[in-house]
Amino acid sequence: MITIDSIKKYVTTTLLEGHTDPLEEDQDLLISGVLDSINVMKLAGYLEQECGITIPPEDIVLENFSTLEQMHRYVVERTGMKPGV
Amino acid sequence: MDFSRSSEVELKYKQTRDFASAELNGDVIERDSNSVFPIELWKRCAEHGVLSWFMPEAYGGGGHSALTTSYLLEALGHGCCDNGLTFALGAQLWSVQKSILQFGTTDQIERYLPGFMKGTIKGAFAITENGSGSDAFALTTTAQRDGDSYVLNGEKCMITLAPVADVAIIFAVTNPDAGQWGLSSFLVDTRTKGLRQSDNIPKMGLRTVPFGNITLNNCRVPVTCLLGSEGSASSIFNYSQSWERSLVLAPQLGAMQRLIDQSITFSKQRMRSGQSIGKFQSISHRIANMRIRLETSRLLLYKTAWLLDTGKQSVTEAAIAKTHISEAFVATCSDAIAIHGGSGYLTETEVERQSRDALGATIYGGTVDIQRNIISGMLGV
Ligand SMILES: Cc1cc2nc3c(=O)[nH]c(=O)nc-3n(C[C@H](O)[C@H](O)[C@H](O)COP(=O)(O)OP(=O)(O)OC[C@H]3O[C@@H](n4cnc5c(N)ncnc54)[C@H](O)[C@@H]3O)c2cc1C
Repeated sequence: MITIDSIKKYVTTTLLEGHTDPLEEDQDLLISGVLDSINVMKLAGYLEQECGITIPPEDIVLENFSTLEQMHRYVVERTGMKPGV
Repeated sequence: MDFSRSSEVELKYKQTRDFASAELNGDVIERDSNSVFPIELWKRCAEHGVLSWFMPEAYGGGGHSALTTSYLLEALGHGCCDNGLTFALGAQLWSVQKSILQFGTTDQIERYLPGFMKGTIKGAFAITENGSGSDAFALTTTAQRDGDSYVLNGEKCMITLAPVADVAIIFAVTNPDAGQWGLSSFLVDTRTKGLRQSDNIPKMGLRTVPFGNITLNNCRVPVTCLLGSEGSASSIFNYSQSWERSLVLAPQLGAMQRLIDQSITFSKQRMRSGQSIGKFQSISHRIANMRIRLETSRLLLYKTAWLLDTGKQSVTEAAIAKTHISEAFVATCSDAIAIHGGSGYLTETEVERQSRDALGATIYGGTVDIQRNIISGMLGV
């Protein structure tokens, strides 16, 4: 089951290798530019693989991908999983 | 991965290649030298099904997969020597029709798709500006919300089909504080007041496709013109580019095959020092290299098309295919000129034109440098 922590771990260790500032769950990662376009595509690929879903391109918008919390909520809704901690 | 084809698809390949070589090549040298867009041939291609093969059956299309469609586009490029025409058909198909199909409302799809498929309307995909190309999201065209409309201002440059398009997908800033997430795209009828299409701008190759600018001066469009949701344009762009980058070069595979066939024939007939030039290793190895490039290009294109059909992410594969095929086409054209010697440099042999056309593919849809940035970026570099 995917959790906010596992998404955070992927973002900090894989996408933002060497990123030292802690990421807050409600922190904007897109408009602030913490994640660039390529990282967003990689993240979508990661979530697809981890959760066994296909993320349609129209879902890759601020409302679903701006914060760790939103990403988690999005995949939980898409997979019908119980929210993990 | 399975690239096998049914006998019907093989038959369609032959029919398409034969249709293209019989009907699309007539005055191609004159068309190229006078930069004439063959509108009647565009319509003939539409009648043949080129703009509908991939479209869903529910909308009157052929319902073919991306893999089958690319194979048929390869057939088109094999028979048709006018790379400008085949490029423009692919550009509309993958960046305009596919984007509308994926992101459009039912109304938008029903309004535009039938005309595109019949060849009665043409569409452009307009993101590039004078101040933003490789950094596409740095565009400055604005779309300001005003009641039930948006008011667009700005100028798009180097847009395929711009002078003749009936509708254009225009990318604009709707929220200046949100970077790429503040971009939106609009389906704009080119007859809308405040929109101006430039005349054709002359260029090095692909001269039979009109190309130019679109200027928006207080161009007011209803909110129903929004394609996708507000702020979704970067997703629309990334998505459509994955398709365009992967598949727009399908006809070039056919063109490469044509150049190989032409070079083999020439190398067998041309006698120098008492033997056919094909007996010289410098010539035969060039032909072998052309064949190797065609094979690798085919495999990359088919793999990417297959991935797109499965709905799997293909960002890296699309960038690899775009880079490899465009560079393979350029190298193949250079080899064909070298094999033909002085005659390869002459307009009448039609090899020099292919070479001018080929270079465009290393630029449009994101330059090969940008594709390499994407490939390395996806690797975490
Ligand atoms: C035939 C043709 C058809 C086209 N059709 C369309 C169309 O239909 N719609 C549309 O919107 N646009 C279209 N374009 C425009 C095309 O997308 C741009 O030309 C292309 O993206 C490059 O942008 P630019 O010309 O501004 O070059 P620039 O971005 O100015 O690049 C100049 C050079 O710098 C390099 N460069 C720039 N940034 C980087 C970087 N970050 N890293 C490494 N190298 C870099 C580039 O690779 C290039 O070599 C078309 C272009 C051509 C030639």
